[in-house]
Amino acid sequence: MTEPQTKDFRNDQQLIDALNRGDHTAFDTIYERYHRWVQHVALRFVGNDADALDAMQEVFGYLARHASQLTLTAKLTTYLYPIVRSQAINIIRKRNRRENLPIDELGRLTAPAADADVLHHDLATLVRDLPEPQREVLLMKALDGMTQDEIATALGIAVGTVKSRLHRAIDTLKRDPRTRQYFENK
Amino acid sequence: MNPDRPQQPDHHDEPQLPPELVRDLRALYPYPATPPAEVEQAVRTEAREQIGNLRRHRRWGFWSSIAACVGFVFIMQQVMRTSTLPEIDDRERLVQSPAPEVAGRGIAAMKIAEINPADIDGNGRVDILDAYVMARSMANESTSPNPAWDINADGTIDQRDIDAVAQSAVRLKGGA
Repeated sequence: MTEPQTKDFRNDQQLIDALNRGDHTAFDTIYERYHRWVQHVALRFVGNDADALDAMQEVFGYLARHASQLTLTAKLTTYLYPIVRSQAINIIRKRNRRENLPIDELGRLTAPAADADVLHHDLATLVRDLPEPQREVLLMKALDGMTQDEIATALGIAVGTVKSRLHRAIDTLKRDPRTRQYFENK
Repeated sequence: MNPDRPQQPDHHDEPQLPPELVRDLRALYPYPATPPAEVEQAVRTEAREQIGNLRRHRRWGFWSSIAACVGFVFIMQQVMRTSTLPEIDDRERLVQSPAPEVAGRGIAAMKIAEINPADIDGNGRVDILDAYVMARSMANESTSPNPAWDINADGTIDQRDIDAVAQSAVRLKGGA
């Protein structure tokens, strides 16, 4: 991850308030803090760096256009996640239209790389085989460090639904002999 | 949920993933390459334009509101000016006139009546109603006739002035 070019100690709420007032340095700070994460989330959907980059540009373009209308009620990542998801789906839709591919894969997270190294092969297989909703919440928990409440807000679903999906995903990993060792060492 | 305080949200309810699992999942989903400098510059430039536009729109909206308020106040002042009550003399004439139809008319009607004294009721036109108003007022002996009703300027206000108003109404109606 790149180092931020300027030291800005404002928190997310302060940055959004400043952005509402037309402070472009607030935008610069938000970009510095989150552009890599946005790319990372986008990559999970679009599956390649180029499209992830496009999605990142679209997300920050959206943020700049709606700067005066933002009201932050949760963490910025919770606010950004559905935007990233939506922009990634748009890119996939355009790509599929261009390549005359079916759009039944829209919104689905890409599976882990098929050429995952031997050490991670079993985990990759299991994660790929998880139902899409369970895989998404598991990755949001593990990779994005979101709490169940934040995941629920980002996805627009009930907390109970998040708990249920996460519990089932973890249970699958616990019960499978290939990934049981992650939990047995605890 | 903490059994001792069931109504309190409990952070222990948040499942903890094993660190090794998190580590390996991150390896499966690595971060993408750093964006090229020109892409980052393009994002910042577009953002500055968008934010600048928002600021301009906001400023334009602010000054437009100010201009609208000033314009509204100016228009209201103009409207109030043209809607003022008639001068004292005209007002007294309205009071002196026994015809109830004349009382309360605006100054515009009064000015027309000054131009054409036969417009007894001050409605801006001379018609048979003016003759009627005049006749009815004169029949009421308790009130004095309006001096302006000396239509034929013979020094008295009588039936001949009523006839003159009626003839004037007919003449106007006949288009002569």
